[in-house]
Amino acid sequence: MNTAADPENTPGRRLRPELAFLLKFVLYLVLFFAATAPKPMNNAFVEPFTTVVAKVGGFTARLFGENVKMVGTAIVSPRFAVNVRTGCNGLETIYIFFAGVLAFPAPWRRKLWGLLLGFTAIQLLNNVRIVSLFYIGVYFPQHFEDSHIVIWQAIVILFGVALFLLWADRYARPSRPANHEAPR
Amino acid sequence: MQDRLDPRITKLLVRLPLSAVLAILLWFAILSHPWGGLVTRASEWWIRAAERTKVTRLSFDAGLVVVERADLSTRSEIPAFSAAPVTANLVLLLALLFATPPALRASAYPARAAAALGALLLTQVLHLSFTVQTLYAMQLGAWSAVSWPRWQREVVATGRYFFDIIGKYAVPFIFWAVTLRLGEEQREAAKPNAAPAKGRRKKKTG
Repeated sequence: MNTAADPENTPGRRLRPELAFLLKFVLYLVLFFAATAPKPMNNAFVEPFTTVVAKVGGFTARLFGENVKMVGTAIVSPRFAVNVRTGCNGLETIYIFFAGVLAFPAPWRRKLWGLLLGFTAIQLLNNVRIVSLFYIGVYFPQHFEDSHIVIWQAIVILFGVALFLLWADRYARPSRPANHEAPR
Repeated sequence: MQDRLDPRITKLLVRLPLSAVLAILLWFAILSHPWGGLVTRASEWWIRAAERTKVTRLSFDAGLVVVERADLSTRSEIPAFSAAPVTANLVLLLALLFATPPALRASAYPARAAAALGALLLTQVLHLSFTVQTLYAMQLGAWSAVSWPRWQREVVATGRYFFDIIGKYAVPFIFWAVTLRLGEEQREAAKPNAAPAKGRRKKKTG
Protein backbone atom coordinates (compact mmCIF):
# COMPACT_ATOMS: atom_id res chain seq x y z
CA MET A 1 0.00 0.00 0.00
CA ASN A 2 1.35 3.46 -0.89
CA THR A 3 0.63 5.93 1.83
CA ALA A 4 2.42 9.01 3.08
CA ALA A 5 3.27 7.21 6.28
CA ASP A 6 4.96 4.36 4.48
CA PRO A 7 8.70 4.89 5.08
CA GLU A 8 9.60 2.95 1.92
CA ASN A 9 7.78 5.51 -0.15
CA THR A 10 8.62 8.68 1.73
CA PRO A 11 10.96 10.75 -0.42
CA GLY A 12 14.25 11.55 1.30
CA ARG A 13 13.81 9.01 4.09
CA ARG A 14 15.43 6.06 2.33
CA LEU A 15 18.07 5.74 -0.31
CA ARG A 16 16.85 4.67 -3.71
CA PRO A 17 17.47 0.90 -3.96
CA GLU A 18 19.83 1.17 -6.94
CA LEU A 19 21.90 3.85 -5.17
CA ALA A 20 21.95 1.78 -1.97
CA PHE A 21 23.18 -1.17 -4.02
CA LEU A 22 26.02 0.83 -5.58
CA LEU A 23 27.11 2.25 -2.22
CA LYS A 24 27.12 -1.20 -0.61
CA PHE A 25 28.94 -2.60 -3.65
CA VAL A 26 31.74 -0.03 -3.28
CA LEU A 27 31.85 -0.60 0.49
CA TYR A 28 32.29 -4.36 0.07
CA LEU A 29 35.03 -3.81 -2.52
CA VAL A 30 36.90 -1.53 -0.14
CA LEU A 31 36.41 -4.07 2.68
CA PHE A 32 37.79 -6.93 0.55
CA PHE A 33 40.75 -4.78 -0.41
CA ALA A 34 41.40 -3.68 3.18
CA ALA A 35 41.12 -7.29 4.37
CA THR A 36 43.55 -8.78 1.86
CA ALA A 37 45.99 -6.02 0.84
CA PRO A 38 48.09 -5.74 4.03
CA LYS A 39 51.23 -7.86 3.79
CA PRO A 40 50.40 -10.30 6.64
CA MET A 41 46.99 -11.08 5.10
CA ASN A 42 48.49 -11.22 1.64
CA ASN A 43 51.09 -13.73 2.83
CA ALA A 44 48.59 -15.77 4.83
CA PHE A 45 45.76 -15.86 2.33
CA VAL A 46 46.42 -14.43 -1.14
CA GLU A 47 49.82 -16.04 -1.77
CA PRO A 48 48.73 -19.60 -0.78
CA PHE A 49 45.53 -19.13 -2.81
CA THR A 50 47.57 -17.99 -5.83
CA THR A 51 49.86 -21.03 -5.40
CA VAL A 52 46.84 -23.36 -5.49
CA VAL A 53 45.48 -21.58 -8.59
CA ALA A 54 48.88 -21.95 -10.28
CA LYS A 55 49.12 -25.64 -9.32
CA VAL A 56 45.68 -26.33 -10.81
CA GLY A 57 46.83 -24.51 -13.98
CA GLY A 58 50.00 -26.62 -14.08
CA PHE A 59 48.01 -29.80 -13.51
CA THR A 60 45.68 -28.88 -16.40
CA ALA A 61 48.65 -28.19 -18.69
CA ARG A 62 50.03 -31.63 -17.76
CA LEU A 63 46.68 -33.17 -18.78
CA PHE A 64 47.36 -31.72 -22.25
CA GLY A 65 50.71 -33.52 -22.30
CA GLU A 66 52.91 -30.57 -21.34
CA ASN A 67 56.11 -31.27 -19.46
CA VAL A 68 55.68 -28.58 -16.81
CA LYS A 69 56.93 -28.22 -13.27
CA MET A 70 55.83 -25.80 -10.58
CA VAL A 71 58.27 -23.31 -9.08
CA GLY A 72 56.28 -21.37 -6.47
CA THR A 73 53.53 -19.67 -8.46
CA ALA A 74 55.29 -20.20 -11.80
CA ILE A 75 54.34 -22.86 -14.34
CA VAL A 76 57.66 -23.68 -16.00
CA SER A 77 58.28 -25.75 -19.11
CA PRO A 78 61.30 -25.89 -21.41
CA ARG A 79 59.23 -23.91 -23.96
CA PHE A 80 57.73 -21.12 -21.81
CA ALA A 81 57.13 -20.10 -18.22
CA VAL A 82 54.10 -18.26 -16.91
CA ASN A 83 54.05 -16.75 -13.44
CA VAL A 84 50.61 -16.54 -11.84
CA ARG A 85 50.56 -13.45 -9.64
CA THR A 86 48.03 -11.32 -7.80
CA GLY A 87 45.77 -10.03 -10.55
CA CYS A 88 45.98 -13.33 -12.48
CA ASN A 89 44.48 -15.51 -9.76
CA GLY A 90 40.85 -14.58 -10.46
CA LEU A 91 40.47 -12.77 -7.13
CA GLU A 92 39.73 -9.42 -8.78
CA THR A 93 36.68 -10.91 -10.55
CA ILE A 94 35.67 -12.78 -7.41
CA TYR A 95 35.80 -9.54 -5.39
CA ILE A 96 33.53 -7.80 -7.91
CA PHE A 97 31.12 -10.75 -8.10
CA PHE A 98 31.03 -11.23 -4.32
CA ALA A 99 30.53 -7.49 -3.72
CA GLY A 100 27.62 -7.52 -6.18
CA VAL A 101 25.99 -10.57 -4.61
CA LEU A 102 26.43 -9.33 -1.03
CA ALA A 103 25.14 -5.84 -1.89
CA PHE A 104 22.07 -7.16 -3.70
CA PRO A 105 18.86 -7.41 -1.67
CA ALA A 106 18.27 -11.18 -1.62
CA PRO A 107 17.79 -13.92 0.98
CA TRP A 108 21.09 -15.08 2.54
CA ARG A 109 20.58 -18.68 1.45
CA ARG A 110 20.47 -17.59 -2.19
CA LYS A 111 23.45 -15.33 -1.66
CA LEU A 112 25.48 -18.22 -0.26
CA TRP A 113 24.61 -20.42 -3.23
CA GLY A 114 25.50 -17.54 -5.55
CA LEU A 115 28.89 -17.05 -3.86
CA LEU A 116 29.71 -20.76 -4.00
CA LEU A 117 28.68 -21.35 -7.62
CA GLY A 118 30.10 -18.01 -8.79
CA PHE A 119 33.46 -18.73 -7.15
CA THR A 120 33.61 -22.14 -8.86
CA ALA A 121 32.59 -20.81 -12.29
CA ILE A 122 35.06 -17.89 -12.15
CA GLN A 123 37.92 -20.16 -11.09
CA LEU A 124 37.11 -22.62 -13.88
CA LEU A 125 37.28 -19.83 -16.45
CA ASN A 126 40.44 -18.46 -14.84
CA ASN A 127 42.04 -21.89 -15.20
CA VAL A 128 41.21 -21.79 -18.92
CA ARG A 129 42.80 -18.33 -19.02
CA ILE A 130 46.03 -19.50 -17.37
CA VAL A 131 46.42 -22.55 -19.61
CA SER A 132 45.55 -20.60 -22.77
CA LEU A 133 48.05 -17.88 -21.84
CA PHE A 134 50.67 -20.60 -21.37
CA TYR A 135 50.00 -21.81 -24.92
CA ILE A 136 49.90 -18.26 -26.30
CA GLY A 137 53.32 -17.79 -24.69
CA VAL A 138 54.56 -20.99 -26.35
CA TYR A 139 53.21 -20.37 -29.85
CA PHE A 140 52.61 -16.59 -30.11
CA PRO A 141 54.87 -14.96 -27.52
CA GLN A 142 54.60 -11.59 -29.27
CA HIS A 143 50.87 -11.53 -28.43
CA PHE A 144 51.24 -12.60 -24.80
CA GLU A 145 51.03 -9.13 -23.22
CA ASP A 146 47.98 -8.04 -25.24
CA SER A 147 46.22 -11.33 -24.56
CA HIS A 148 47.03 -11.10 -20.87
CA ILE A 149 46.27 -7.44 -20.18
CA VAL A 150 43.48 -6.66 -22.63
CA ILE A 151 41.70 -9.73 -23.98
CA TRP A 152 41.63 -12.19 -21.09
CA GLN A 153 41.14 -9.49 -18.46
CA ALA A 154 38.10 -8.23 -20.34
CA ILE A 155 36.70 -11.75 -20.80
CA VAL A 156 37.08 -12.74 -17.14
CA ILE A 157 35.68 -9.49 -15.70
CA LEU A 158 32.75 -9.42 -18.14
CA PHE A 159 32.08 -13.06 -17.30
CA GLY A 160 31.88 -12.08 -13.61
CA VAL A 161 29.49 -9.21 -14.43
CA ALA A 162 27.32 -11.47 -16.62
CA LEU A 163 27.27 -14.12 -13.90
CA PHE A 164 26.13 -11.53 -11.36
CA LEU A 165 23.35 -10.24 -13.64
CA LEU A 166 22.19 -13.81 -14.26
CA TRP A 167 22.18 -14.61 -10.55
CA ALA A 168 20.47 -11.34 -9.59
CA ASP A 169 17.71 -11.66 -12.16
CA ARG A 170 17.07 -15.38 -12.16
CA TYR A 171 17.94 -16.63 -8.67
CA ALA A 172 18.01 -13.70 -6.25
CA ARG A 173 14.61 -12.12 -6.75
CA PRO A 174 11.58 -13.74 -5.17
CA SER A 175 9.45 -15.77 -7.57
CA ARG A 176 6.75 -13.94 -9.45
CA PRO A 177 3.34 -15.39 -8.70
CA ALA A 178 1.92 -17.18 -11.70
CA ASN A 179 -1.01 -15.36 -13.31
CA HIS A 180 -3.28 -18.34 -13.15
CA GLU A 181 -2.56 -19.08 -9.51
CA ALA A 182 -5.64 -18.60 -7.37
CA PRO A 183 -5.16 -16.57 -4.20
CA ARG A 184 -5.44 -18.58 -1.02
CA MET B 1 13.80 -18.78 -8.64
CA GLN B 2 12.34 -17.02 -11.67
CA ASP B 3 10.82 -19.18 -14.35
CA ARG B 4 12.58 -17.07 -16.98
CA LEU B 5 14.93 -14.12 -17.25
CA ASP B 6 13.85 -10.53 -17.69
CA PRO B 7 13.93 -10.18 -21.52
CA ARG B 8 16.06 -7.03 -21.22
CA ILE B 9 18.72 -8.92 -19.23
CA THR B 10 18.53 -11.82 -21.68
CA LYS B 11 19.18 -9.40 -24.53
CA LEU B 12 22.10 -7.85 -22.65
CA LEU B 13 23.68 -11.23 -21.92
CA VAL B 14 23.28 -12.34 -25.54
CA ARG B 15 24.82 -9.11 -26.84
CA LEU B 16 27.70 -9.06 -24.35
CA PRO B 17 30.11 -11.51 -26.09
CA LEU B 18 29.75 -9.74 -29.45
CA SER B 19 30.10 -6.36 -27.77
CA ALA B 20 33.26 -7.56 -26.05
CA VAL B 21 34.73 -8.64 -29.38
CA LEU B 22 33.80 -5.28 -30.92
CA ALA B 23 35.31 -3.34 -28.01
CA ILE B 24 38.54 -5.37 -28.12
CA LEU B 25 38.86 -4.87 -31.90
CA LEU B 26 38.20 -1.14 -31.52
CA TRP B 27 40.85 -0.97 -28.80
CA PHE B 28 43.56 -2.57 -30.90
CA ALA B 29 42.58 -0.91 -34.21
CA ILE B 30 41.85 2.64 -33.15
CA LEU B 31 41.68 3.53 -29.50
CA SER B 32 44.69 2.29 -27.55
CA HIS B 33 47.18 4.93 -28.72
CA PRO B 34 45.04 8.09 -28.80
CA TRP B 35 43.38 7.15 -25.50
CA GLY B 36 46.75 6.31 -23.90
CA GLY B 37 48.13 9.66 -25.11
CA LEU B 38 45.12 11.50 -23.72
CA VAL B 39 45.41 9.84 -20.30
CA THR B 40 49.17 10.53 -20.23
CA ARG B 41 48.75 14.23 -21.09
CA ALA B 42 45.96 14.68 -18.55
CA SER B 43 48.04 12.90 -15.88
CA GLU B 44 51.04 15.11 -16.60
CA TRP B 45 48.88 18.20 -16.19
CA TRP B 46 47.42 16.84 -12.94
CA ILE B 47 50.82 15.83 -11.48
CA ARG B 48 52.45 19.15 -12.41
CA ALA B 49 49.53 21.06 -10.92
CA ALA B 50 50.33 19.43 -7.58
CA GLU B 51 54.11 19.99 -7.81
CA ARG B 52 55.70 23.03 -6.18
CA THR B 53 58.51 22.92 -8.73
CA LYS B 54 57.16 21.69 -12.05
CA VAL B 55 59.60 18.90 -12.89
CA THR B 56 57.56 15.99 -14.24
CA ARG B 57 57.34 15.40 -17.96
CA LEU B 58 55.29 12.44 -19.20
CA SER B 59 55.23 11.32 -22.80
CA PHE B 60 53.42 8.48 -24.52
CA ASP B 61 55.60 6.50 -26.89
CA ALA B 62 54.68 3.20 -28.57
CA GLY B 63 52.35 2.13 -25.77
CA LEU B 64 54.76 3.19 -23.01
CA VAL B 65 54.46 6.05 -20.56
CA VAL B 66 57.94 7.62 -20.39
CA VAL B 67 58.62 9.45 -17.12
CA GLU B 68 61.16 12.26 -17.18
CA ARG B 69 62.03 14.64 -14.36
CA ALA B 70 63.86 17.87 -15.01
CA ASP B 71 65.85 17.41 -11.78
CA LEU B 72 67.14 13.90 -12.56
CA SER B 73 70.74 13.41 -13.63
CA THR B 74 71.17 13.10 -17.39
CA ARG B 75 73.07 9.86 -16.70
CA SER B 76 70.03 8.31 -15.00
CA GLU B 77 67.99 5.75 -16.85
CA ILE B 78 64.64 7.07 -18.02
CA PRO B 79 61.85 5.03 -16.43
CA ALA B 80 58.96 3.85 -18.59
CA PHE B 81 56.05 1.48 -18.15
CA SER B 82 53.21 0.09 -20.25
CA ALA B 83 50.07 2.23 -20.28
CA ALA B 84 47.70 -0.65 -21.09
CA PRO B 85 47.33 -1.96 -17.50
CA VAL B 86 45.94 1.48 -16.61
CA THR B 87 43.94 2.33 -19.72
CA ALA B 88 42.65 -1.01 -21.06
CA ASN B 89 39.63 -1.03 -18.76
CA LEU B 90 38.08 1.24 -21.39
CA VAL B 91 37.35 -2.06 -23.19
CA LEU B 92 35.15 -3.18 -20.27
CA LEU B 93 33.07 0.00 -20.25
CA LEU B 94 32.69 0.05 -24.04
CA ALA B 95 31.63 -3.62 -24.10
CA LEU B 96 28.98 -2.98 -21.43
CA LEU B 97 27.73 0.19 -23.17
CA PHE B 98 27.52 -1.55 -26.56
CA ALA B 99 25.70 -4.52 -25.01
CA THR B 100 23.03 -2.44 -23.26
CA PRO B 101 19.71 -2.90 -25.10
CA PRO B 102 17.59 0.25 -25.64
CA ALA B 103 14.99 -0.94 -23.12
CA LEU B 104 17.62 -0.88 -20.35
CA ARG B 105 19.02 2.55 -21.23
CA ALA B 106 18.25 5.44 -18.92
CA SER B 107 16.83 8.69 -20.21
CA ALA B 108 19.52 10.94 -21.75
CA TYR B 109 21.57 7.82 -22.45
CA PRO B 110 24.16 9.44 -24.79
CA ALA B 111 24.90 12.13 -22.19
CA ARG B 112 25.16 9.54 -19.41
CA ALA B 113 27.41 7.32 -21.54
CA ALA B 114 29.66 10.31 -22.29
CA ALA B 115 29.73 11.15 -18.57
CA ALA B 116 30.67 7.52 -17.79
CA LEU B 117 33.55 7.70 -20.28
CA GLY B 118 34.66 11.03 -18.77
CA ALA B 119 34.52 9.59 -15.26
CA LEU B 120 36.54 6.56 -16.39
CA LEU B 121 39.15 8.90 -17.87
CA LEU B 122 39.39 10.71 -14.52
CA THR B 123 39.94 7.44 -12.62
CA GLN B 124 42.62 6.45 -15.14
CA VAL B 125 44.37 9.79 -14.60
CA LEU B 126 44.26 9.11 -10.86
CA HIS B 127 45.58 5.57 -11.38
CA LEU B 128 48.41 6.74 -13.65
CA SER B 129 49.29 9.52 -11.20
CA PHE B 130 49.50 6.98 -8.35
CA THR B 131 51.69 4.78 -10.58
CA VAL B 132 54.10 7.66 -11.34
CA GLN B 133 54.19 8.78 -7.69
CA THR B 134 54.84 5.19 -6.58
CA LEU B 135 57.72 5.04 -9.05
CA TYR B 136 59.13 8.24 -7.53
CA ALA B 137 58.58 7.01 -3.98
CA MET B 138 59.87 3.44 -4.29
CA GLN B 139 62.00 2.92 -7.37
CA LEU B 140 64.50 5.76 -7.62
CA GLY B 141 66.95 4.36 -5.10
CA ALA B 142 68.42 6.61 -2.41
CA TRP B 143 66.60 9.66 -3.78
CA SER B 144 63.24 7.96 -3.10
CA ALA B 145 64.23 7.07 0.47
CA VAL B 146 65.45 10.61 1.23
CA SER B 147 62.68 12.56 -0.50
CA TRP B 148 59.62 10.51 0.46
CA PRO B 149 58.64 9.97 4.09
CA ARG B 150 57.51 6.46 4.88
CA TRP B 151 53.83 7.41 5.31
CA GLN B 152 53.74 9.14 1.92
CA ARG B 153 55.24 6.07 0.28
CA GLU B 154 52.58 3.92 1.93
CA VAL B 155 49.78 6.22 0.79
CA VAL B 156 50.77 6.32 -2.90
CA ALA B 157 51.62 2.60 -3.00
CA THR B 158 48.25 1.73 -1.43
CA GLY B 159 46.43 3.98 -3.92
CA ARG B 160 48.20 2.33 -6.81
CA TYR B 161 47.61 -1.17 -5.43
CA PHE B 162 43.90 -0.45 -4.94
CA PHE B 163 43.52 0.53 -8.60
CA ASP B 164 45.73 -2.36 -9.78
CA ILE B 165 43.80 -5.03 -7.90
CA ILE B 166 40.20 -3.84 -7.72
CA GLY B 167 39.61 -0.25 -8.80
CA LYS B 168 40.38 -0.50 -12.49
CA TYR B 169 38.06 -3.50 -12.90
CA ALA B 170 35.21 -2.23 -10.75
CA VAL B 171 34.87 1.37 -11.97
CA PRO B 172 33.65 0.48 -15.50
CA PHE B 173 30.85 -1.58 -13.92
CA ILE B 174 29.89 1.25 -11.53
CA PHE B 175 29.92 3.94 -14.24
CA TRP B 176 27.95 1.68 -16.59
CA ALA B 177 25.30 1.14 -13.90
CA VAL B 178 24.68 4.90 -13.91
CA THR B 179 23.62 4.71 -17.57
CA LEU B 180 20.94 2.09 -16.87
CA ARG B 181 17.22 2.50 -16.50
CA LEU B 182 17.21 1.33 -12.90
CA GLY B 183 14.17 2.34 -10.91
CA GLU B 184 13.14 5.02 -13.42
CA GLU B 185 9.91 3.20 -14.20
CA GLN B 186 8.93 2.96 -10.54
CA ARG B 187 9.78 6.61 -9.92
CA GLU B 188 7.77 7.70 -12.97
CA ALA B 189 4.84 5.59 -11.79
CA ALA B 190 5.11 7.09 -8.30
CA LYS B 191 4.79 10.68 -9.56
CA PRO B 192 1.41 12.11 -8.51
CA ASN B 193 0.48 13.26 -12.03
CA ALA B 194 1.73 10.08 -13.70
CA ALA B 195 -0.73 7.94 -15.59
CA PRO B 196 -1.72 5.01 -13.42
CA ALA B 197 -0.42 1.60 -14.30
CA LYS B 198 -3.05 -0.64 -15.85
CA GLY B 199 -5.29 -2.34 -13.38
CA ARG B 200 -3.66 -0.86 -10.27
CA ARG B 201 -5.89 2.14 -9.48
CA LYS B 202 -8.50 1.51 -6.89
CA LYS B 203 -11.74 3.38 -7.03
CA LYS B 204 -12.20 5.71 -4.08
CA THR B 205 -15.16 4.89 -1.96
CA GLY B 206 -17.02 6.82 0.69
